[in-house]
Amino acid sequence: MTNNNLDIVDKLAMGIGGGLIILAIPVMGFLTTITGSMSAFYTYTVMEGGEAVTKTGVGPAIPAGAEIVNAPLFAPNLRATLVLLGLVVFALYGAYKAFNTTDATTEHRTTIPAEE
Amino acid sequence: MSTQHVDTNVLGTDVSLSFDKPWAAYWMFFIRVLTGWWMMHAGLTKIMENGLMMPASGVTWFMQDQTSILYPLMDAFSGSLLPIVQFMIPVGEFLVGLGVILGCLTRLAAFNGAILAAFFYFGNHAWGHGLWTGELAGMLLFITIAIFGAGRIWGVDQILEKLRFVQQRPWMRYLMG
Repeated sequence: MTNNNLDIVDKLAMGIGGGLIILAIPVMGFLTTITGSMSAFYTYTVMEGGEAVTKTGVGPAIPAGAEIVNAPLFAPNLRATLVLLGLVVFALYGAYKAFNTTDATTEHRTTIPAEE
Repeated sequence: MSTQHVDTNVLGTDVSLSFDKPWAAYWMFFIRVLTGWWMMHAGLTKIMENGLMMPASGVTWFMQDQTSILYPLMDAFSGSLLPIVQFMIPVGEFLVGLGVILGCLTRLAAFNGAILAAFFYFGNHAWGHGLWTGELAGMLLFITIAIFGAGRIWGVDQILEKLRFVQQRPWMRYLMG
């Protein structure tokens, strides 16, 4: 097995940072879709000019009096928060690496000719 | 940390890349799963709503958009060939997304994903969403996945490429990777 010297911080950043984003977008997205929500957002009807108009949106933007037709399995803002947390983990990891660079780096050099 | 340096020459200029090997592999997997889900979700929702064939009304407006620079090509498919488009959009999106997520026939899937994204990009009515759109970003991501052969990272292609059947047919590796 190739030893690529991932330390615990690398593994935590990969697992938690990427894990949160993959959980929020593809995993929760798949569960939302197969439970019948074609959109990640709330679908609601609201009366406009005497006619019922169907729209999609997130909780705070849904007008009072609107009738919720379909609610996704997971609130969109919950999923967005998980994405944000994942990105924060990546950002913290980047800052940690920037300030903790060591000399114990294994370097490999590959020369690839442009034309063979 | 394990750093990989790549020295090469691009169009007469010596260049040197330097990146962390495990993070590069991990990030290609990450891009693969998220980009694949983008396309798979588009196909899955269409299939769940309308089955394997999109309604003709759902594609004719797109095929007959005279503001698109691909109008002559798309218009040619808006007549008797329209059922091909009605089938290929939902099923193509779903299979491209599934293939890219699973890393199965990754280059074939990513190439077709880029083609689909290109049609959606150039079908941007009168460039109402601008010249830089999510479809252009998606197309670039699919091309990146194909160039780097991202399916070898926790993907089915990692297994397929070890099969004798594939190793005896080197051209097949252009479909995988």
